[in-house]
Amino acid sequence: MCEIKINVKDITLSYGDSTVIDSLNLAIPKGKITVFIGRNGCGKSTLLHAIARLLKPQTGSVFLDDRNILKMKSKEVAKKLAILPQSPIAPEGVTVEQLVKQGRYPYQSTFKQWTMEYETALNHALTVTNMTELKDRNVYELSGGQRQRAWIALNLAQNTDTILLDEPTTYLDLTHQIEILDLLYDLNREENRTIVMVLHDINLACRYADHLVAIKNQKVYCQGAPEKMITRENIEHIYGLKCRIGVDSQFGTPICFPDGKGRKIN
Amino acid sequence: MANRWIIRSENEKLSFFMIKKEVYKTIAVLVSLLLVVLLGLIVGIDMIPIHDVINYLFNLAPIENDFALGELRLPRVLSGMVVGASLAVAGLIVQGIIRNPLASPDVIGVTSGASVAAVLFLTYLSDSMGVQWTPVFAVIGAIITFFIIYLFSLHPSITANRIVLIGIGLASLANALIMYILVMSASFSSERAYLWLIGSLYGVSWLETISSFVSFIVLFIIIMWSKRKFELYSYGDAVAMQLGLNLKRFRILFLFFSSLLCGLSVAVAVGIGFIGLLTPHISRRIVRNHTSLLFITTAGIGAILVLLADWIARIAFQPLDIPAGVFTSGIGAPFFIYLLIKKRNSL
Ligand SMILES: Nc1ncnc2c1ncn2[C@@H]1O[C@H](COP(=O)(O)OP(=O)(O)OP(=O)(O)O)[C@@H](O)[C@H]1O
Ligand SMILES: [Mg+2]
Repeated sequence: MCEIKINVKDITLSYGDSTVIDSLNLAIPKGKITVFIGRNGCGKSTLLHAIARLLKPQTGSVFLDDRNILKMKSKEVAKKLAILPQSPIAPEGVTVEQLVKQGRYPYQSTFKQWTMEYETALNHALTVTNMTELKDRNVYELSGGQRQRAWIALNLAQNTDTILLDEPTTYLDLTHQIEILDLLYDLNREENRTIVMVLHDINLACRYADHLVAIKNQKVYCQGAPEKMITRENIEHIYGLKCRIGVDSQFGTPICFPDGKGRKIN
Repeated sequence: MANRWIIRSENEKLSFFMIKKEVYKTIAVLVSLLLVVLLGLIVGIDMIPIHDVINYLFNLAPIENDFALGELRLPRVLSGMVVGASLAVAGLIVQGIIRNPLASPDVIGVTSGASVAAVLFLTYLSDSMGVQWTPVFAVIGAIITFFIIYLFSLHPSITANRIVLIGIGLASLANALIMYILVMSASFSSERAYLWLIGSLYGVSWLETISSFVSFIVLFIIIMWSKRKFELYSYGDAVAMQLGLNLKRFRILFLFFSSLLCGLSVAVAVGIGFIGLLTPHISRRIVRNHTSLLFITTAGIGAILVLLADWIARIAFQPLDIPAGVFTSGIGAPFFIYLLIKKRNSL
């Protein structure tokens, strides 16, 4: 068994009276890519937010490297764990560089606004995400993929060894989806960062995830390596949809072909 | 790098980052402010030559018109600056916190709340306590109104735009209250309140001027101390929170700052409308990537707008002295309607 980065213990999350997650337990492996899947509205974003202490649990707690994050200082957590929320919105008129600089907030103080170290972190974040040339551009003048890379750069400037991302590929075309996922893959394999994200594309999830977690009925329905976990039965239970499972001829990872209607060619 | 300045002390205890273009633009705004100030000092019912103004300001030589300059124009110009800058910065803060470009202290009713408290004080308490306490009560009124609006905003179904509507309701309520107080109270004390309410910038005293000027500067410095929080907050709740900002504490702190600014401006002159709404729209176009400079530019433009309005009010209708608020509202109200129409889809 590998090392645990984040330990979610007995967590219950609700909005008002409606419970979304009910005494859920989950261990997220260190230095791996973990992907949450599940139907719309099953609580993936809610769980991700609670892990990043954006949402207070009714009961239970979240441990980051065996420390309870609710008992840590918020800025201290911000140096260890970053989250990219689903479709974040930048203020009007800011440049990419200005956006990425926000990632240094937990390190800054009133008079220490821009040390060499901050600049190095910023430049590293821009280089890795391939945004250096676009740094003076207005965020609103970027393509969807470029904008998403800018936000990821913000998380990188934060210099945390854990990054959570909520549907980082939504609204992106296939090229940009792969571009973002490749970037995250490199961050994981080359810089050994723990990545946790929500994805809706099961096939891509199988290809990039070391560990897959399916959420259903307010709990973890099942989890494990994609090649073990993705079976006809499991998909049917998670999504309520029949499908056939194949194998990607290049990667050897599972591929899911959903049943349903459509054209048939003989 | 070419388009920026990076300032670092040797041990890096101090380190700052600025984009040159935005620094230049801010300086341009401050220079314009200086010109408008000079305009207000020189041009009035009669002209005071610029060398006389300089002689007076730097105490170089005695001048002929020292009463008109020293007792009338100078306090008027200085307190006009304070009113404009306070309202503008308060507007910038309120728009930032509610994340709504339609908001400003007067639109959401805070100015009216401050006025109610001040009028209450002037009619019932000023005889026993002394008129100089008016600003304190204006500030208390502003804080109470902000607090009511903040309580409303905690309710999940209240969107940012609805807060504006609630504020408009609160403002009419406050105005009705003022009318009621004026009608019900003894005529001599209500007259004092009435004079203050329509108060143009005419005849502000040196004491008022100096105390409001100093309060503004102190407050501005304190706000700049936390401006980094203000910037981060504009990136959305989730992003700000994940980077370690305590949202609740931040909102209360900044609403408190803008209450103080509102109370400050109301204490000097009431009824200068729409500066808080209008100014941030101009300044955010000028400075986009540097929060300190944005605050300075906002204060500068707010001061310029009020000074110009007051100057026109003073010059154009001689011998009448029309309150400056007539002009700021004249420009501000149509602009507000324009914003409402432009943003109607999100209401
Ligand atoms: N702020 C909120 N207030 C009240 N209910 C909410 C809130 N956010 C989410 N919910 C509800 O909680 C449930 C879980 O939402 P969540 O966003 O976590 O789902 P999700 O798995 O991320 O869905 P999706 O795949 O569509 O992003 C949903 O039923 C949703 O309606
Ligand atoms: Mg979601």
